[in-house]
Amino acid sequence: MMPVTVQHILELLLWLTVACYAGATVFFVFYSSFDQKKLDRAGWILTICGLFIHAIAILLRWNLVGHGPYRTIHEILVCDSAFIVGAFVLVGLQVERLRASGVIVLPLTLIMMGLGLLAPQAGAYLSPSLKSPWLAVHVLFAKMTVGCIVVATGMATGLLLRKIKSGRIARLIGLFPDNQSIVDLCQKLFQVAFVFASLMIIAGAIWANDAWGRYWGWDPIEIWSLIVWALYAFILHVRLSWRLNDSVYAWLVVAAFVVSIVAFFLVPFGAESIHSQYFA
Amino acid sequence: MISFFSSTRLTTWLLVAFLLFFVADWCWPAFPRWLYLLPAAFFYANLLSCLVIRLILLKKNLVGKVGLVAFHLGLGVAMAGGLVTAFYRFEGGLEVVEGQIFSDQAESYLYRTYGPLWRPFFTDEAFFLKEIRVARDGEGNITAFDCLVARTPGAEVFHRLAANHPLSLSKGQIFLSQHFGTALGFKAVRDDGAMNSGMVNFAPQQHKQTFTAPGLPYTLQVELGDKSRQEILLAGFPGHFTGKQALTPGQGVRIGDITLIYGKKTHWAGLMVVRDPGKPWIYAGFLLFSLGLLLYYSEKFTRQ
Repeated sequence: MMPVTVQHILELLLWLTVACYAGATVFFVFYSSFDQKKLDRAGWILTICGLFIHAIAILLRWNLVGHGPYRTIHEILVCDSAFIVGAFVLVGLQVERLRASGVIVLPLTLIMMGLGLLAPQAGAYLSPSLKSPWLAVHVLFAKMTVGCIVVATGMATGLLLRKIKSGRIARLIGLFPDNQSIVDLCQKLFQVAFVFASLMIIAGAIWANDAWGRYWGWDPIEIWSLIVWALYAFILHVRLSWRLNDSVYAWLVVAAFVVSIVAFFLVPFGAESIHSQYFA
Repeated sequence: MISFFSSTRLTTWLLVAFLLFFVADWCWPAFPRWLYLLPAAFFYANLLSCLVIRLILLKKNLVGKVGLVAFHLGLGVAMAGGLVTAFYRFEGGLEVVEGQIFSDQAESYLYRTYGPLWRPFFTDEAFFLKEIRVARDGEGNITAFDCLVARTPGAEVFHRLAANHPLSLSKGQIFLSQHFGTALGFKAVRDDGAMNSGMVNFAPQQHKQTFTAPGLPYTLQVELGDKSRQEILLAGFPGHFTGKQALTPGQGVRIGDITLIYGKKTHWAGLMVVRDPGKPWIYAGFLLFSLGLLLYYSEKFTRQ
């Protein structure tokens, strides 16, 4: 019989996480169809169980490879999806009716988890300049930013789908709070995301100064993080200064999500950059 | 006039201008980048006008208002620091190899880049680099380069330059870049006795490198071999030396009238000298920005 290794346990935990999130998605979908409170409750419990197992898996891998989840695409996708579910759970604890947005947030997380599990899972070399306490601060705030934006996008998508007046989607959207509450919550999440993105850039700049001798270098990843930050600031100001239609605001949130995905996931692995050596 | 400069509409158009410039810069390599300064100047005026008109006159309690003003002001100070850096920064780079000994002022070896308004008064402090040693951890991995650095000749002291631990001079800093790569030493001996030596530097995780050996009229490809056997593979380009030869330290290969001898495997790192007068502005901006956020959110939290 093949001996059970930590790697096997890790893989099992990750697949258990996927099973929990998939099960929760199914419960939330049925809840949207049959409007039974116990289905919502089952979906919520499965989400929290999944998040707990997910966190154990991340810590176990951290211990196994000797560094945090920021080096390979597998680590980044798996860890970021945990932060998204974490933000969803926090919002769901505050506003119970927003748990219905799990129908949008959890499938997104499942796609990320799936891509992460398909990516090579071997550990990677850690450059000496990565061994800085600023790295943890920089990465932590980046992941929390992603978590907030995805949950805000889930809610904004719900608002946009409100135009569908019949069928299962209309029933699902009927479970959401009114437009004003959704927009207010999105705005709060954007405020938090903006603060996190600012702290991510500040921590990154201080670290870059120590490691590379410069705090800013107009590197593609730095430029895209600035674009994301400016876009969040723009959305916050636009909401405060102009009387925007709720749908226009929701579209802006979706646009910010698309730009964030490009900045956080596509540019680091696609663009020629000094940061590229940090991603395997 | 002031209401035009303090409007969100202007901010929107400036962001659109930045976006258009960014796309143009992406598509057209010869894009004149100084054009970015135009929307940046308007953006700065927009930020300052907003600070005066909107935030200072805002009807809000004192803590929240101070917070809002502080973090917008922090952004303004950081942007000013960015301008100072762009125009006044000095940067020099140098590749240092384990065991290398310099006999001259190290700054004369630097590849330099300057901001357009850089002035010599920023470089009145020279530094001397004499010898490079390598520090390793228990498993033999390189953790730092110990460099014999001095501000005046004859007063050398070993400084540990590790990644993330720069050495501060009064008007600048010496950084060790993140590369702790492998360096291969070669000697080329011609039949008439003339001798040259040179190094091939590999970045971490890089295994192949092209190399113009001293005295050789063409380029060779060097491949790092098995780590334990300290072996390298030497291959020439088609039309010249087409063979492949595995070498261990001390071994040589005959190419035309030259014997190329593989010396030894060492390590190298990048060394940078930076003088950036914009840095204190940037850190002051970050501090104001963070303090502002803290005040603003503490006021909101207390109100709730």
